[in-house]
Amino acid sequence: MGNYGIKISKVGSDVKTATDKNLILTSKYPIFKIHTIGTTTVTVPANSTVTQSTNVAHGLGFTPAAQVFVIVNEAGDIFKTNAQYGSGYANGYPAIGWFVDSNNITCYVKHGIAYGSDIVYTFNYIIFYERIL
Amino acid sequence: MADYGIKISKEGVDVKTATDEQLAFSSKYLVSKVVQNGTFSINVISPDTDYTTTIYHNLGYRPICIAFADTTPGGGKRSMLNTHSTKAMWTMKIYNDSVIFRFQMTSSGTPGVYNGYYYLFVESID
Repeated sequence: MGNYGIKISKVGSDVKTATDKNLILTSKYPIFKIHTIGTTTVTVPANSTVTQSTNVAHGLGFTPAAQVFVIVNEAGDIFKTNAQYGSGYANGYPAIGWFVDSNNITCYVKHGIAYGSDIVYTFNYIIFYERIL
Repeated sequence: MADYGIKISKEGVDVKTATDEQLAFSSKYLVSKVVQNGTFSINVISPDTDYTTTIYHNLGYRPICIAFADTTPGGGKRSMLNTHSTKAMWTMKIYNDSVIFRFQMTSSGTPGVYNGYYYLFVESID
């Protein structure tokens, strides 16, 4: 690093002598920059056990880092979790996941058993400017 | 917070009156800083076998790590670790000097080279 930049230390630490861990911010290291925050849904039609997915185009032209959360309703227990959830198609719980490529974030859901009505899954995604490919 | 620091507000918001949510940056809060990043790769041959690869760091503590990896060999579609499906499972273990990425493929998975990318942050998970 050249002899320039910005450092901001935690309260009680001298910015001139603070270790990296005692800095709130230092331009020595890059930080994740958020490109987009958004919401999308995946609808699993009634009686379907086929994987359903939704693409969200990010327009970056490279594969970016991202994070996705999903709202799950398991027998009335409603919670939000990291959207890599459940692997068992056969045990009745949904397999929920997402992946990212140079064009889209793709969110998907598959049920191992059929349900009598449509089920809508809501995904909250964060796309960063930092690339992973 | 002591009476010093930096605030940068979002466009259209007065920085002097902005709430924390209306700030693009505030030195009031710690931000995660990337200290190391790079690629990793595992050549998968057989199902139901543990494959691992290790990346090293010199931090001396367990840092925050996020990683993304192929869900199919060379497919360019990447999921965030830890992740598992009916075809494959990725996990990672974070240590004081290294991170071990572990991959296991089921019999329905596809052999081949699985690539990934990781970020280590200055901030500790302990």
